[in-house]
Amino acid sequence: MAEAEPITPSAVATETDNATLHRYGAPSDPPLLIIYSLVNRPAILDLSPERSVIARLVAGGFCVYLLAWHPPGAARRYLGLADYVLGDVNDAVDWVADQHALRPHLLGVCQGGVLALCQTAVHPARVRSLTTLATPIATDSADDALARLARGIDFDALVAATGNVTGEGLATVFASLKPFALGPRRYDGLAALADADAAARDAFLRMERWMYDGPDLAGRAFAEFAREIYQNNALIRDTLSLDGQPVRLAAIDTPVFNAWAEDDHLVPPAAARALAARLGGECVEQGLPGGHLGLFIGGRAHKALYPALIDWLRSH
Amino acid sequence: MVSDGAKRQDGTDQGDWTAWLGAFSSQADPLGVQALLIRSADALAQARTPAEALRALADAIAAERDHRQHQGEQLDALLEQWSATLQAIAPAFPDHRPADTPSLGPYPRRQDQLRALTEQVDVYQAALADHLHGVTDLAETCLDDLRAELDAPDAPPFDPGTLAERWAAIAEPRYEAWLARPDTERRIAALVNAWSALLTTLRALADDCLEGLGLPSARGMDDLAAELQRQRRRQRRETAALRAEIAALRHELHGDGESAR
Repeated sequence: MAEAEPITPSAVATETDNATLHRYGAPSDPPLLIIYSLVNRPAILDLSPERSVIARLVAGGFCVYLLAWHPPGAARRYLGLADYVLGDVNDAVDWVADQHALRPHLLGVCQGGVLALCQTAVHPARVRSLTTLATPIATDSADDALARLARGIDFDALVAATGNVTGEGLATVFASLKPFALGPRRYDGLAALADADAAARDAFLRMERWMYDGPDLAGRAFAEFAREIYQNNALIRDTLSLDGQPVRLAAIDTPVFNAWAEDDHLVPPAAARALAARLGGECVEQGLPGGHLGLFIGGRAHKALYPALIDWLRSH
Repeated sequence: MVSDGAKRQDGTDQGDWTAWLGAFSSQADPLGVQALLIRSADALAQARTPAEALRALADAIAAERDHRQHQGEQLDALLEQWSATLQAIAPAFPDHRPADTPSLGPYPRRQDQLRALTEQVDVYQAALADHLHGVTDLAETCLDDLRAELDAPDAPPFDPGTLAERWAAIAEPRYEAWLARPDTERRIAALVNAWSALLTTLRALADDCLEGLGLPSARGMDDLAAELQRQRRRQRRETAALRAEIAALRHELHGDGESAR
């Protein structure tokens, strides 16, 4: 299955050890660095011209950088969270800051929000602001399906057996949470799509590719994330450390914008909302009706959330 | 019993109660009730006064208790012997747990692996059966509810599209509730953990075969990956230290401005 082609024009800015840094927009604009999740591909942020988060941020006056992760091969199965945060994210922040002679705004998406939080907690002075979208912070709420499923699993044993974790396997796990919505209900209108215009068919297929074309995950990083975030609730309990450096949310005195979807079955509102109370500085919050993906491709998000976010970013 | 020599209606003499009760004797008397009755009847038959009868009865009960205790001790000894015998012959049975017997002779690691494999296959199959049982129960519940809806007197005629829609409407909430149940989560975790253990052992056995043939193995690749990772981390730490040094120098030169970062 071919990867979805980006909509917004971009140029490769640089490479980090495990990612490519793409640049969108004018280099003269203030920089905003997006840290995407290690799960799935960032195409969801630029899926169609009308609903492109990247295009909207560029139009909002920012030079957007996207850190797009390389799928790890077998030789990189031991990459851990510390490698991604203290290595790639840190390198990207430094590179962008050097190029613009300005500290960048940091924007983390879903799991990428956790990576961005870790980076900001370890080096709070290096970013201008932090935005987290649908980011799991507290995983002890009763409606956190992923955390409940993860509770009894020995993830270290799992990755010892599998090496890296396949994208197909993860897509199956996510689909198994909502098999009817993502199965018969989703494909119910497939026949009608044959009569739809080319743009609608293209949008459907782009989404289809995005959903089931996730990259593999480095085994160690997957196990660390599942164990620390989902089993140990480590961000809330202040027990997470990267290469011996403690990750304390209270150390983040950078301004934070935190948004979540009210009907998100992957990152329930309680998981994302817990951030504000733990931070050491200002935090603007916004919950939006809809599900997980609605936060990126939903009409309401593009009408209300992103204009508000752009205003907020401009003010910092 | 105090005997007055009177005849019973059935023609037996009360003095013959012992014999009469004996007619009911059986090997099946696990609580010793029948034996106690016979012993008591026998004692009462000898008594001539109520006081003598009471004494005789108490003695009979004590005697039966002693007898039972002695029998119990014998039974314990027999059961212990039987248990030891069963353990000795257990390896001959197909469902024997190999881990109960220590590895003997050469290649103990291989023996351990093969034993682990048989056990892990069993654990995995049990976990899979357990999970499938849960899935089957859920599916049956959903089907029963769908059938009840279809059989309702006021049910409209269903076309395939509506039927599929009704199935999804019935099954979806039940599935999500089932998925959120602690026993479902426990079963899924048990299945994943059993699969991980089985796969680890299978990989180790496959690696042994490959290495025996002088071919690259997953274990060998893992060693290389781990070594690369160590080098990568060392390089990252050294780079970070170097950057910190450069930043400190910049700070000395330019102060704490934005451009100095």
